[in-house]
Amino acid sequence: MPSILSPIRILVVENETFIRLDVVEVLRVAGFNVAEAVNADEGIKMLEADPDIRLMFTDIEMPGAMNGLELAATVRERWPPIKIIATSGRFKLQASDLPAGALFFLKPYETSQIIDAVRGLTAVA
Amino acid sequence: MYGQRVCEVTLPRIGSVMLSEHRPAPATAPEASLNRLEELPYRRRQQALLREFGTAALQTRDFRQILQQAVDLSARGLGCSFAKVLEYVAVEKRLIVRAGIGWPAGTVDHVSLGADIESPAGFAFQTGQSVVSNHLQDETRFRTPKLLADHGIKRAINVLIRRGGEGDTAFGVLEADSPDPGQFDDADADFLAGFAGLLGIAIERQHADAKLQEALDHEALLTREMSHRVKNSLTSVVGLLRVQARGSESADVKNALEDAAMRVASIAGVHDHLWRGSKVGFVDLSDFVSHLCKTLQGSAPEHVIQCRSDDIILSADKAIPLGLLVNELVTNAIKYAYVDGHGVIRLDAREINGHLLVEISDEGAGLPDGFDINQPRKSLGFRVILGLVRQLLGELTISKNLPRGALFTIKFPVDPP
Repeated sequence: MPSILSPIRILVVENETFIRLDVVEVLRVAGFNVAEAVNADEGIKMLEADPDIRLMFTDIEMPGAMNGLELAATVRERWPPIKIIATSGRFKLQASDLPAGALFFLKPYETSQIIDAVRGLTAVA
Repeated sequence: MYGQRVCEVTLPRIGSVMLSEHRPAPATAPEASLNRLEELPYRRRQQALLREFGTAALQTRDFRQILQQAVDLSARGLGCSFAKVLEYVAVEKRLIVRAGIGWPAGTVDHVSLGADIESPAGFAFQTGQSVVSNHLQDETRFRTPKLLADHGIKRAINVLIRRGGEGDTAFGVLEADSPDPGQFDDADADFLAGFAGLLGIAIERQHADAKLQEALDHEALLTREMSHRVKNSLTSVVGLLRVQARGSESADVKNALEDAAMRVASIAGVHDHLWRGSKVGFVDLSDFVSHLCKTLQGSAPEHVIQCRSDDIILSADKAIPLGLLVNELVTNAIKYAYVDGHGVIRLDAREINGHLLVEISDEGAGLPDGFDINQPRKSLGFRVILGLVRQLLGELTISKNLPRGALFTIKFPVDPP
């Protein structure tokens, strides 16, 4: 179990380099410890290797065998405590498309919204 | 209903040769009522010919060929040597010959008949019903057109060729004719109507094909337009960044904005090539690389930028990060490789085994000893480079160039063509 004082570890899954760098930077500046993956496969590998990740922030449209929706479902199944935030530039998702408790943001989003959402989901109850 | 059996059979004219030998013509229609022994093989042949036409019509998209097969096979099944497909031309209110057998050369696409009671075909067209006439001379329903009279046609069947869709005008008429004595019956008309039905479907299919092609062409056009618009929008952004760069007093801000402008211009450049190539949404790599080369050379006139690329096509989602990567690495070489002078910077792109190998090299000072690109660095440039290599699912190798300088090698998978 990570100590309460250590920064909260977050996984960002996003294929587009500049969008990924932007989100990662913004989250780091906000005090989070951030790991990056460029697609769902890489994301899963990182989650398997790293038990400290508490939240996953993922894009929906990604190249590769799995898209963000399938990734979210897989993560919920294998690691239920991990919080999920999803984004998309293309589709506006319904609550039923994502696992329970997951949040969705349509691109382009305000990064401050993302910080608030991450803080909300990872706050110690 | 049926006339008298006649012993001699005058054979039909084929072209301009009159065949006058007397021989039993097994394919001619029976002259009197068919007795059961004759009827069955006759009808079975008709069935087989209908089946043959159905198969043939499915195998080709060549409309003229389908029409020709319809006349050939239906004539054979009816034992007559004249048949034709007539297409209704609305603007003239006439039926024009589109395919035929037995008629002289030059009939097709030139000879037409009235679409009214001037001809049996016109009559069928007007009434929408199959018309069987065994005595054209005695007909009161319609007149015998010159084309038929000239060939001594005594009897004919005409069936409507409908096309699908509500309220559509029929395509035209399928007609079989014979100058020989004999009788066409209702079963013969049904047989001919079978051909007409299949023709109707073939016509519909042809129209559907044409519409589909139109839609595909339109879609390609729209995609090209979109590519243009994106390129234009991005070029606008480049402009605005440059304006802002100039408007700023701080050198740091100027540089940052100009770097940003160059990167956006790089993305715009890819979009400008997405519509030019052989495949929309893909770039012709060698075209794109030579464009990139010119742009980079333009930004660094004192250096020599040399580029070479294999002639492959690359999808947009690989081309955009690659363009940015090349831009980063070459710009770095321009800024840092030749400390006080200038020199050559080379770009080479080669396809090997489903991967693209891209090499950017210079012959300058080379990288400092112990340089490790993976060390966390403040420099945005290297973070961008590593991020883009990851996006491409690629590998970056940094090595010494021979005889001197630095060599950056990126290898990433590309989709098979």
